[in-house]
Amino acid sequence: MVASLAMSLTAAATREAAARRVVKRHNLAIRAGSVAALLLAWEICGLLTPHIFLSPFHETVLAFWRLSRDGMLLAATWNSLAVLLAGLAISVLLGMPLGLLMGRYVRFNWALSPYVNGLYATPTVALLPVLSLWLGLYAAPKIAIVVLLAIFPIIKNTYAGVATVGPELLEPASSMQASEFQIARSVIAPAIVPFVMAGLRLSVGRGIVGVVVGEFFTAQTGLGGILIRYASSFHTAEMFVPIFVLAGIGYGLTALVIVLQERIAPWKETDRDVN
Amino acid sequence: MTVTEDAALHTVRARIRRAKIDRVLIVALTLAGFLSVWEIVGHLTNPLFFAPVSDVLVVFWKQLIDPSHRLIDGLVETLAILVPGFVIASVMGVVLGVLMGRSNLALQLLDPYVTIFYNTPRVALIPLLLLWLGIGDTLKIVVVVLAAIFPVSVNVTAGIRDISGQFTEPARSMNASEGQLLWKVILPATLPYVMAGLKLGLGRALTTVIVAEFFVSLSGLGGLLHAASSTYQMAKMFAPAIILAAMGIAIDGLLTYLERRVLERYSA
Repeated sequence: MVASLAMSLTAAATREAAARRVVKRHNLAIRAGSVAALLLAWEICGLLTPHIFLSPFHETVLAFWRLSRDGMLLAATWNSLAVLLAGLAISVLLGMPLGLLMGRYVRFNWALSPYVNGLYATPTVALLPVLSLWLGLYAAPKIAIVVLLAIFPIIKNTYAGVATVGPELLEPASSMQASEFQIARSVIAPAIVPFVMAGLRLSVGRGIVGVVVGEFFTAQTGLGGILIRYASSFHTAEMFVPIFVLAGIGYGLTALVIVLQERIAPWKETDRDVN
Repeated sequence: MTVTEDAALHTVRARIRRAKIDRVLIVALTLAGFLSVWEIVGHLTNPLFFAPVSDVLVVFWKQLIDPSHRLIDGLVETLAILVPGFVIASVMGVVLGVLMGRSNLALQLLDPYVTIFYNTPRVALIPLLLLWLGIGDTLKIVVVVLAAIFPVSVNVTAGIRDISGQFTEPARSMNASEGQLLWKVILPATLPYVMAGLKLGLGRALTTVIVAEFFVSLSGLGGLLHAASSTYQMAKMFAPAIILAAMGIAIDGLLTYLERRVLERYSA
């Protein structure tokens, strides 16, 4: 009796799993069909319109192959990625301590929060012309604009994370004579990691915008540089290559942050971005 | 008993008052420090690279009362792009989000594109759209819509997923029609998600509109800023930047206020 019940339960479970697999395969087919339809439409439109407006899809694929073979794409990608990663690293290294200080010391928060909130709401790309005047045309102004766009989500999220650490965690620690540094390292840091990661996810998207704008309006290097060069010479097939690579970088880095979040801080998830 | 309570209340009130005074003092002191450093550095450096804050304020005021209204016109031009673009983006974002949240077919069909667009830096599409749409207002409005629509739609889709069983099942069991379900249950319940999406979209829209104006360099606050910076007029350059900052803070504040109202009303 019990055995047969268990058997019918496992049978039901396998049936359900099979049904789920069918649905999954079905969904995948719809997705593939949707993408194929768009690429076909692109190909047909590209054949019908003049080349200076749109090239057929296969020419973009050929251009991708050509640009990756002569090493130009790789060099440009590396160039953009280096600026982006440098800017993000600086944002984390500066933003986390600032958010920590603002969360721990209310006077610090009073002094800095008007500037942090104000600059977060301001479109800081407007500062690019000045940054370029001060810092020149090469990597420095680009890294600076990435930092100006990417640092505020990290500061604000770190601050919000510190705010979740209540007296129920802090008082036991200080009653056991933990130093301020020990409290920061062992009590506060674990609590804020998920928040910092959620901030970093926003920062990645904003940082890429910073890189591209920097490459458009200072020395035209990297992916933004080749994009604008091809666009202004009406090379519409080549123009899509850096756009797709940029989208790939955005997708890849965001996925990486999510994986890191699960690896470093699996004990807590923050679904909502704190803003 | 009451006497000690009164005394305790009194000390707490006094402490709060002192904290308030402290706060005002600290904000004033940091502001004063910031402005004086700006002023001193401005006098020490080459005027081609930086301007003291006093010059910036004088030029700002002059431009503001200037009879040709360049600065005000710039603000109006930028808002004339931003507001319609933002409204279109929020309506379309909600429609797209509801569609993808309610229908599996729509989700599977559209999700690849939403993912690609959400992850592509919006500004990278400006050169392409410039080619297709020319340098007019259409380009800028389309760019703003593209910047703001996906944060809204992604949030709405996620919101519908979150609320689905908990809210829709009871409504269904009470024989609600699909229309009633949408207007009376789903849309009110996703309103907080819409607001969160709009706040993310606002930042993206502002950034993108400025970059589009840099490109075209003829109109709006971004155009004024670009023109002033390329002729090394530092003090003049800060005027549109100040207005931009004020505009960003004001719209963000408005959205935050609306968000709070929505949360008070619709979240449990």
